[in-house]
Amino acid sequence: MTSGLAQSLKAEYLAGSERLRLEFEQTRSGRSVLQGRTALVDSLTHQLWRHHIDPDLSAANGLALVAIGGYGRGVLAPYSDVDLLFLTDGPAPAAAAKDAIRAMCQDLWDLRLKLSPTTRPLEDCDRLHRDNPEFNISLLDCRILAGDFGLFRRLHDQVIPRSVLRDWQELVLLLAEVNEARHHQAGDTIFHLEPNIKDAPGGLRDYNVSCWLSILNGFSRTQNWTEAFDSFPASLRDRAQEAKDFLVSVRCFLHYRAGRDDNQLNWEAQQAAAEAHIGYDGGGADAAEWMRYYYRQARVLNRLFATMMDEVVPARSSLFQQFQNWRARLSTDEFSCVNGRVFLQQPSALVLPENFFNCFEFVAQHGLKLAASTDLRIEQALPTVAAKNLSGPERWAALRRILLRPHAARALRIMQELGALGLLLPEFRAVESLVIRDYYHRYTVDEHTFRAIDAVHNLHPEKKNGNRGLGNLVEEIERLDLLALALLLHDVGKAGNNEDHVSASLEVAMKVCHTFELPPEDEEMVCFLIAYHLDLSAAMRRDIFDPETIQSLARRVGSPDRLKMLALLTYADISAVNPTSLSPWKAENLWRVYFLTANYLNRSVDDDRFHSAAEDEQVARIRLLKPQLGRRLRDFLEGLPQRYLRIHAADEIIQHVEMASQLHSNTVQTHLKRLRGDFSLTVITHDRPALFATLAGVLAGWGMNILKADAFSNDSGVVVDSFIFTDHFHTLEMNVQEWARFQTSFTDVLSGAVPLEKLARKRVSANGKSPKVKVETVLNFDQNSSSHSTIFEVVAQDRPGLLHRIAAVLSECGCNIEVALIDTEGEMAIDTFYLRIAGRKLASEECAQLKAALEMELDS
Amino acid sequence: MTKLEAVIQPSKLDAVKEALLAIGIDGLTVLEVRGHGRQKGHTEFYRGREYSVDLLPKIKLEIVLRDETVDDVVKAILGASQTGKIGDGKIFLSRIDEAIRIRNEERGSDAL
Repeated sequence: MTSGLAQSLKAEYLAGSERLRLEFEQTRSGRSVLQGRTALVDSLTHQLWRHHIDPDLSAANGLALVAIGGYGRGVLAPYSDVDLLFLTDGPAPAAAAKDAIRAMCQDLWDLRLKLSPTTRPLEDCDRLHRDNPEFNISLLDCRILAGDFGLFRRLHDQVIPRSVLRDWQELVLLLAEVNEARHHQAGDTIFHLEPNIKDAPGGLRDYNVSCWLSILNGFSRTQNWTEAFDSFPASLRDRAQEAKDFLVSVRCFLHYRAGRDDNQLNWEAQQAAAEAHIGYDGGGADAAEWMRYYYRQARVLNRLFATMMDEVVPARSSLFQQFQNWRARLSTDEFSCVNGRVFLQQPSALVLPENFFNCFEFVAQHGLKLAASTDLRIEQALPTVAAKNLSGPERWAALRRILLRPHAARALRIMQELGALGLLLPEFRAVESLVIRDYYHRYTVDEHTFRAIDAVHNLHPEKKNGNRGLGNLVEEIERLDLLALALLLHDVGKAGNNEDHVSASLEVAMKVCHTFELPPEDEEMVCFLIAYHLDLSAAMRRDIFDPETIQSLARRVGSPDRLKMLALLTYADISAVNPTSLSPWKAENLWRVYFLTANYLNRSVDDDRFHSAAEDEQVARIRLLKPQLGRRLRDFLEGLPQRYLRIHAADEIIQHVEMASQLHSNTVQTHLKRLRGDFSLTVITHDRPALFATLAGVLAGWGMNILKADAFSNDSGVVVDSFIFTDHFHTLEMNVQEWARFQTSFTDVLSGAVPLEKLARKRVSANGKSPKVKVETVLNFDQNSSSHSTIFEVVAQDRPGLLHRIAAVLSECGCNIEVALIDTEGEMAIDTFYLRIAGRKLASEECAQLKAALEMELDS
Repeated sequence: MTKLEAVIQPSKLDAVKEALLAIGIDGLTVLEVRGHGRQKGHTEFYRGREYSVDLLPKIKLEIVLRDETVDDVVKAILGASQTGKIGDGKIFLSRIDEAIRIRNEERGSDAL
C-alpha cells in the first residue's frame, strides 16, 4: 500500500471511530454505533480490495470477499473482531490471489483492526467442520463485501442450504452442546454479581444463538432462508429486541471505557453505567437499581435462549428420549408432562389459588420446566389469584408444600420470574436481583438464597459428595420446612444497605412468622436460625479443638436439634456463596465443629443445671406468660438440667409445672398428644427405683416403638420423662377411647397393681421382623465429661422393647439413671445414660459388670 | 531473597495478617492444609461411629521477602500466633534464587 493511501485510510478510520464515540456519548445508542462501525469497516475493505485485488469491486474473477459472524450481521462493536472470508471458486483463484490477500490483511492489521481472516474454496463451505462448528455457524451471517457476486450467490443460495439441511441434526446438536457448556461454566444462572454481558447466560451470545437456532429451524421448515427472528415466540419477540438493544449499548459503553474488547460488567463499570444512564434512566444513578434492570433484560434473553433450545434442539439420544417419555407418566388430572415441560390440563382452573400453587409444587416435586403456554396462563391468572388476598396461614401452607419438595429452588426461581413468589412472600421482593458488593459472593442475594435451598435438598446420605456426616443430618431433622423458610429469609436484611443484615433479616422474619401465624416454637426455631446463622462460621475461624470454643458455641445453641438445623443452614449458606466456597477443608471443619459440639451437648447435661439465682431468657418468658405460677415454677425447675429448658417450649414447661403441682393427688401425671404422625407422652412423678425401665416397659407392652426419649430430674426428686413413639399397631390412632386406658396403665404398673412382664413378653414376640440393616452394638463409657456421673453410650440395633431391656439391666446392676437421652436413626438406637451408683460415678469393675450384663442381654 | 513458609493455627490467620500489614507486608499466599506434627490428633466417637481426627486443619502462609525484612516478619508471625501450646505450628525459611514479575518481566527483589 502506498504511504498516501495508508495515511488516508488510517485518518478515515480514526476520524470515523472518534465520530462514533462522540455520537455515543451524545445518544447512548449502541445500535447506531454498531451500524456506523460496520459501514466504516466496509468502506476500508472496499478501498483495500480495489487497491490490492481488483479495481472493479464486483469483478467476476472467482474470488469474493464475504463478511461473516458479527461483521456479517452488520453489528460491529467498537473493539470487536472483524471476521472475513476470502471465498474462492476452487484452488486456482486462491493461489493466484494469495499474495494480494496477505497484503490486504496486513494493511487491515496495520489499521489496528482485530482481523480474523480465512481463505476457503467454496466446496470447503459444503461440509460440516466437526472440530470447528463455529465456522459453519458463522456462515449463517454471511454478507457479500466485494468480488464475484455469482460465487457468493452459489454459497448463499445453494451451498449453505444444502449443507445445513444435510447436517441439520448434527449441526444443531453441536451448537447446543457448545452453548450448554458455556451456560454450565457460568453456573447456569444469569445472577452473577459481575457478569460478562456477552458470554454469560442472558448475554448477547444467547440472543445470537437464538437467532441461529431460528434460522436453522427455518431451513428445517421451509428448506430455505428465513428471517433470524421468525421462529421466536411471539410473546418474547419485542422484549428480546429491547433487551438486545440494551445490552448492545452496555457493550459499547464497556468497550469505550476499557479501550478494548472488554465485556465484563464489573462493579466500577456498573456504577459508571448507572451514572451515565446507559440504556436505562429509571433509577437515577443508583447502580443497584440499574443492575436490576440489567437482570430483567438478561432474564428475557435467557428465557428466549431456553425456549429456542427446547423447541429446536432435537432429543440427543434414544436414552434421553426414553427419559422424557418416562417423565410423561408423571401427568395427572391437572398437569400433563410432554418433553420435560408442564402443560395445563384445565387452564381455566388456574385462577383458583390452590390449583395455581399446585403447579409450582408439581415443578418442585419433579424438577420440570413450564411450557411457554403455561407461563402465559400463569401470568394471566396472577391478578385474579392476587385479588383473592390469601391469609397468612394459607400462604404458609402453599409455600411450605413447595419448600419441602426436592426441586424447591427451581420452582421458587420460576415463581419469582413470573411474579408468583411475591404473592406468598412479598418481603422477598426486596432482595430480587440485588447486587451486594462482596469479593467472595458470586451471585445476587436471591440467587444465593435459591442455591442455598438447593444445597440442602441435594445433601443426601446416598450422594457421595464428600460431606461425610452432614448428609445424615438431613435425614435426622424433623422440620425441613422451617430450615428452608429460615434460608429463604436469612439474607432479606441485605436490602437497604443495612450495616447489620442479621438483625434486619431477623426483624423481617419475625414479621413473616406472625403473618404466617406459626406456632411459637416454630417461630422461635426460624428466628434462632437467622439470628445465629453466622455463628458456626465464626466458630470455624477459632480453635475448634479448644474446649472453650465448643462450650461457648454449645451454650449459645442450646440443644442438639437446633445444632443440627444450624449446621445444615451453615453448610447451605457457605455452599451457595460461590462454586468453590465450601472447600473439602471447610466442609470437614464444619462437620468437626458440629460433632464436637453435639458430643459436648450430650455429655454435659448433668453439669449444666438450672439454679434460680441465674437469669434465664426462657424462664423470664414463662414468668411473663404465666405470672401466677410464682414460686411453683422456681421449685420445679431447681436442679433440672438446662437441656430441659432448651428442648421444651414455654407452654410445655408451664404444663409440666401444673402437672407437678397435682402430684399430691395423683402420684403419676401423664400427658399424651399427637405429634406429626407420632405420639408424645410426658410422665411426671417422683423418682423411684427402675422408674425409667418400667415406663419403657409399659410402652413396649402396648407395642409402641420409642423413637426419642429423655429423662430428667430436679433437686426435689421430681422426674420428667418424655417419650416420642410410633403406634405400630394403630391402637391409639384407631381407638380414641384407649387413650385413657393407655395413660392409666402407667399408674397401674408403677403402683404394682398390674404386672408388667406378661404384657411386655406378649408384644415383643408378636413383632419379630428381621432387620434390614445390621447395626453392631457399641458400648462406650465416658468418665471425664461429667463431674457427677458416668456417661454410658449405647449404640445398638433398634428392636421392640429395646429401651426397656437396657434400662432393666441398668437397674439390675444398681445404677440410678440421672439423665437419659434416647434417639433413633433408621434402625440404629443411640442412647446416652448418665449413671450413678450410691450417689457416685461407677467404678471400673462396675462398668465391666454392666457391660457384660448388657452384652448378654442384647445377644439373647 | 528468602521464602518464608509458616504453618499456623487457622484461628490465628486474622491476627497474623494484621501483624504483617502493620509492618508493611500486604501480599501473601494462603493455603488451607491438613497435617500433624507432634500434635498427633485423636479419635472421636459420634453416634457409635469413630471419627479419627488425625490430620488437623492448618493454614499455610507463603511469602517471598527481601532478606532485610525477614527478621521483622518472623517476629510479627511469632507475636501473633504463639500460644505456647502444642499445635502452634512452624516457620520455614529458604533461599530464593530469582523472582520474575510476569506482567513486565521485572526481576529480583524489584519483582516482589
